[in-house]
Amino acid sequence: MADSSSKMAVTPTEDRAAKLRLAEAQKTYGRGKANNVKTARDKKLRSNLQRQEYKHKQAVLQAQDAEILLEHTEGFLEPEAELERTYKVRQDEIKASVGIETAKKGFELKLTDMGPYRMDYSRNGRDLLLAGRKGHVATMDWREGKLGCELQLNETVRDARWLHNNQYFAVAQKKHTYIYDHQGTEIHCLNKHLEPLFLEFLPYHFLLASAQMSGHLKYTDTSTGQTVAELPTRLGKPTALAQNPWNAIMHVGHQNGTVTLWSPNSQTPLVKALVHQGPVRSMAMDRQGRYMVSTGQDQKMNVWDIRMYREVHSYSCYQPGASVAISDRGLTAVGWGTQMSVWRGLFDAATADQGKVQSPYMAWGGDGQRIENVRWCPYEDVLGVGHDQGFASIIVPGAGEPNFDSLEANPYENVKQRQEAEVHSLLTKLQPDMISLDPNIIGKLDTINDKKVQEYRNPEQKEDHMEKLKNRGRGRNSALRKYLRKKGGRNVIDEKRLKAETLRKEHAARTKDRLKQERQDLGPALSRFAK
Amino acid sequence: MPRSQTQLRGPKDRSAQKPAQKRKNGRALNALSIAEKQIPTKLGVRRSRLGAYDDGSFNRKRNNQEGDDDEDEEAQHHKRRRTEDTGSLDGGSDSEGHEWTLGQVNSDDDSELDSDEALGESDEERFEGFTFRASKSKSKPKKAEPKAKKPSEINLDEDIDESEEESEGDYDEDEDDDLGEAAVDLATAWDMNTAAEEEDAKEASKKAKRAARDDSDEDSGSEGDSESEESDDGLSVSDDGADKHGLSKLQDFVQALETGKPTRRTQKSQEQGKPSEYGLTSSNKLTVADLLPSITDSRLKNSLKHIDSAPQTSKTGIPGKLDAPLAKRQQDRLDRAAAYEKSKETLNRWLETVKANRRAEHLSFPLPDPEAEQNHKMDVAKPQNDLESAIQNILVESGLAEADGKSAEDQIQSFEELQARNIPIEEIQARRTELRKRRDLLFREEVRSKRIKKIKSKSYRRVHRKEREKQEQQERQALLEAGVDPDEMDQEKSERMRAEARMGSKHRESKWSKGLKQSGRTAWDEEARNSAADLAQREEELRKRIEGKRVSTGEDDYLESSSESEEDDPWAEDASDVERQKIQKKLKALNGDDVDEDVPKGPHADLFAMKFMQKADAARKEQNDAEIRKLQRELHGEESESEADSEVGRRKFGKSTKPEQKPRKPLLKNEFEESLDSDDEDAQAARAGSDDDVNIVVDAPAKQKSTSNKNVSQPSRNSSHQEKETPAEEENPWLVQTERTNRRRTGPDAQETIDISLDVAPQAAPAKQQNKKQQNTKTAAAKQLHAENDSDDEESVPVLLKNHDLVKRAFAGDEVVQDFEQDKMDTIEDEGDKVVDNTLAGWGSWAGDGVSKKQQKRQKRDLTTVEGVNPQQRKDAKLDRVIINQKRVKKNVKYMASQLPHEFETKQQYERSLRMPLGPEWSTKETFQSGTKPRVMIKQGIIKPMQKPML
Repeated sequence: MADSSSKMAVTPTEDRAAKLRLAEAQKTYGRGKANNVKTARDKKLRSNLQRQEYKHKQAVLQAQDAEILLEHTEGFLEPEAELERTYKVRQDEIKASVGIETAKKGFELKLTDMGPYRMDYSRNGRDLLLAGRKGHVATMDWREGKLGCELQLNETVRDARWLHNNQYFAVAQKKHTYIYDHQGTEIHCLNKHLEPLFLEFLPYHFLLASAQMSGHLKYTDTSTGQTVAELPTRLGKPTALAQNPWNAIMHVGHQNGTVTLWSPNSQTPLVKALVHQGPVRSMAMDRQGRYMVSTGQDQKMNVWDIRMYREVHSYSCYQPGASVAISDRGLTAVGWGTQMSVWRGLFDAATADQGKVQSPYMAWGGDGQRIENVRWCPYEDVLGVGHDQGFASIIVPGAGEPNFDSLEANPYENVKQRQEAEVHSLLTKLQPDMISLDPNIIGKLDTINDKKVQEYRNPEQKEDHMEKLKNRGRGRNSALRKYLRKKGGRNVIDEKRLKAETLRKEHAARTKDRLKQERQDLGPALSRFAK
Repeated sequence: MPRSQTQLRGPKDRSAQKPAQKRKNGRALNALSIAEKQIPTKLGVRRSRLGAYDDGSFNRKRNNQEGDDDEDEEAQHHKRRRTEDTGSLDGGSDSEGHEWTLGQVNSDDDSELDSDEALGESDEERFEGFTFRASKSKSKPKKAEPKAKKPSEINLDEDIDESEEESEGDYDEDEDDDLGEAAVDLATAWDMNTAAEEEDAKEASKKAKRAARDDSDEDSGSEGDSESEESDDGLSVSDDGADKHGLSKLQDFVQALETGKPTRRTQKSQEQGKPSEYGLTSSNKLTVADLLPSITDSRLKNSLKHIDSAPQTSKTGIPGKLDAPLAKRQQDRLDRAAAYEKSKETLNRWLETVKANRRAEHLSFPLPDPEAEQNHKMDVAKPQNDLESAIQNILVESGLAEADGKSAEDQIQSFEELQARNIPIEEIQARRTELRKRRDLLFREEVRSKRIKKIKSKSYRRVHRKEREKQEQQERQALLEAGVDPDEMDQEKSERMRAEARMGSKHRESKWSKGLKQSGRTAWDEEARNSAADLAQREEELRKRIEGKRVSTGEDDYLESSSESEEDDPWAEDASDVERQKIQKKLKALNGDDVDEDVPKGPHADLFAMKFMQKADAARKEQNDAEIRKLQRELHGEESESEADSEVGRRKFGKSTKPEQKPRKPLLKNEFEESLDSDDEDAQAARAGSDDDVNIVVDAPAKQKSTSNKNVSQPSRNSSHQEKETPAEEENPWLVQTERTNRRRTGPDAQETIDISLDVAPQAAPAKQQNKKQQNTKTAAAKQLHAENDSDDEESVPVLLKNHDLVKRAFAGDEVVQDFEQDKMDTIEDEGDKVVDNTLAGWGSWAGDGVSKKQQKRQKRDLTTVEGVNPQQRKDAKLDRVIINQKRVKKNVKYMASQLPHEFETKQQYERSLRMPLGPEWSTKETFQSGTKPRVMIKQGIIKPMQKPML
């Protein structure tokens, strides 16, 4: 024993290295705790579990090894001196110091007439959709500066969203939501979505959600065209709508400072949280679904941990933040008043339990354009800002995911690939029923107790076995006869059996009586024919 | 003569080798004709003499006059005796056997000898209890004689052995064995041959096959020449040998043979254990020939003549009774049982393979051929195409490979061999002895270093243990930080360890230890004492483990106690001193060894090949010496360290204990305070007291130790209490720390503001404002604020203040929080337990107008409660600004498992099995492929069944 303990104490170095490597890999790619194989009593199960654990380990290690394929890393602005501040760096300085191609990504569009602009990037970050409040809708391949289509709708446009790819987009107009194709042709009018204020699209479920003026949240399946759910928030006109990309839960901000979380499967909100003292202005969730950043009319920017539903930090603004967006790498852009600031490390600070982040990472604006909307361009270090004077594309180093996954979204896809991806994503479409707060419930064991299961299965349906044995003695296959035929031979005396037997006796007596009566009726001569 | 005997005799016959023709006469008929052709001259003489009973003439003769026959036989015997005199005692026993039995039946006077020989050894065993009329006491020496012939053969080997080399002797022996076996098989083969004529030689075992091969050789005629040559040699030498060596050697061999024989015999009987056509086992087969002598009717004899001439000529009658054949049913049952056994055996051979295949994760058909795998042999790769040859050339040029594909070592070896051929043998031998000496020296040095290391294990390791532990701790920490529980990784190991500890026979409760106590063996038996001490130590360790302490007695202590505790007195006060002295003594002894171990210089010490060895020798020695020196230095110089370390082992009492306890205090204190949450001193004291009580209970079994333990633990606890008072008053940094690290920041901290504007210098005003608020809150919070004030204190911005005021004012009318709280209350109530009133008005009481309130009250209420969510167990019970819906989302339920799927035993196991995604999007290609690889893969084409078991 002592020997073994000593062996355990002094592990060879290569063993240690392997362990450390595994630990490192587990940290990023591990999926939960390993099973204790020893506890399995069944031999076969034990070997299966062992095999499975081995596979897990291998998968983790291989995933770590595959990191070698991620050849790009993100780069941030780094201050050289102590007194240097990264938020002092202006866009023209950045453009001067980066490559020409990168510098071209920062541009501004002056669209002064059509009011504040909202915009959206397609999933692969290639196309831009601009929607001016006064009815101007345009799509463009923003890197090449190529206009896709341009519409003058001549009515209020409140929001616009790309659907699953750059071929279709939905526009929340004055009365209904409309769907257009890439040429600007109106394809559908979703007249169930009345007076929509905000739109969100869930790419894996093909659900278009809209928050209506009436306070309803509506889900429409864009692959089938069916309305999936109509959920009344009962909290008046919603002030914000955002999706949690991790679990496809919709967050709706309300006038009274609450944020409600919705799935199409529940008529009541899953969670209701009081986030702000005043109306919620905007919300954004990070990619991993861990944190929510919200801004409210109470001039606060709150960081919430939406796993535990706790406020982590609260930041003050000079003006209510009109729009928040979180990039793939965790940079948070807040547009407030005419200014926009980008925060870095908000969540890291929250995780590490440090104090708050003291100063923003980057800043932009202050030139008199009131900011309406901010959006990060996927896979690019670019932030799109929609304001009342048009649109600005800002370079923010370190914002985008440097390594794209072409199975997920390919910024350089061609037509064929786009079509393939469309079919593929339709085949792997998730059902709306699968949406829940914890996306891992699929396949998990339902731990509700047995009594409740019974209740859920047949509410108010208590089966009465006695009722089945109807007192209806005619015919060969009466329930009683059948029962006696099938189960009568058994030597089990229970309530059912007793009842069956009494019933049979009754039957017998009745037939006897009937026969007797008949005989009597027929008289002595004909009584033999009675049956 | 029973067949078994003939078989046994087979080899002897051959070696003794009365002419080959004799045997041929004894063989089957078809062979006879061939033999006649081969050896025509001798045959003419012997045909009549050797009782070619299969010959028609012989039979006729016997039929006509039996007297003649007898005479013939007698004459033959005389002749045989003559031949025996010359050296081979029984030549051509095959044919003879037949005659003897005939003689035995017909005439008594014929020979006592014959009957004895006819009664084979196997038969002798069988009929031990019987006495035959004709048997005499003479038989004993006679029996010895035939066996003597085998020794003579082996004598030959011995003779050769002395004169020639070993290898050749071996060869001879081998050959001899082969020959013997072949001869045995030959005999059976004859039987086989005859049997084949009867029933197609069904029972052809491996041996029989080989015999048959030999048989065919004989048929071709080569047999006579080749075998006779060999055996002739044997004969001649054996004669010499028999002359030369004494009787004693002979008897030795006889004994050796006797021990060797029975196995062979059983083999044969097994082989031929099947019943023949006549329902007999072949070992005592009854043939027509056996029955013939009993027939007196000549006509009947005539009619049976053709049967008599049938092939089983070599068969002889069986003395004694024959077993009646079993009833068919019984026989069948036996057959079936045997067949079942056989088939089971053959099927069992597949068992492992089938199991392995069933358990295999993947199977790909056609299955790999096990033989094909075995045949893989690493050979020197030779370049096969241009590219390969080019690479080979490059390698050769750069010196990385040899041109002929041999490794450098091979070349050196071959070179040395070449050289060795030139050197005279004496020199080689001398060199070898020198080498041997060197090796011996090296070995001794190695042993010495081992001993040094062992001494090291006492102090050196003790000194260095701390370092090691620290390192381990760090590593552990790193692993923990990485989110991997190292315990889990080593769980298996540790579990095994624990199991072993439990299993250990040296436990207190074991029979062995009880026996020790009862017998008081420890008083006189040193070994028992040692193990008792060991046991005590183990016990202590176990107790510590129960208490949850880390066991610090490392492995070395164990080793020591097992190996050297005979001198140790662990209870001695100055154990460490004694130990040190001992170590020094040992070191001295080792040094003394050094002096003794001066290398004796051999004559070939300056051989060039030896130099490197010398160097290595010297190096090693130096190392050892250095180690000893180091040890000594440690022992002298670093006494203090070793002293500090001594707490690791057994606890010491007396003056040495006190300094030990001091460093322990702070640690204990920390542990204590973390668990404490109230400052009440009395409560603590009470708790401490209770702790002590617990301790005493734990220690109860070993009383002596328990008191000592108390002594140790009490002061330390008390001291910790005393120390506790001060920190409680002045502010516990740990508590502060925990406060600080607490996640919950909903309090004042969360309200703290950091302005996100850039124009104004970072936000001091709100902080100041809050400072006022916070002053009466926790000190911890205050402390934390310090850090922030450093940055925030600079100045206050009135604009911000105003803003906040404005905001407050703006939302003054909205009682948002109150509304929310009300909402939450409603939800809790809504989802909580509900009482349902099922009372039916008027049921069992009066209802309607005019019913007094009293009566109404009296009515029994039928209330049922529908269970809901307990407010305390709500997920949002501790979150004041959150309402979490706890209703079941029914639509999600259909994607959940309603019950634990088969095979899995726990929920964790099942859910873990779902945890790793299979798709290519979420894992590497390799993982994806290995995860989706089908269990059975079939290649195109015909898949043959397995030819043989793979395992």
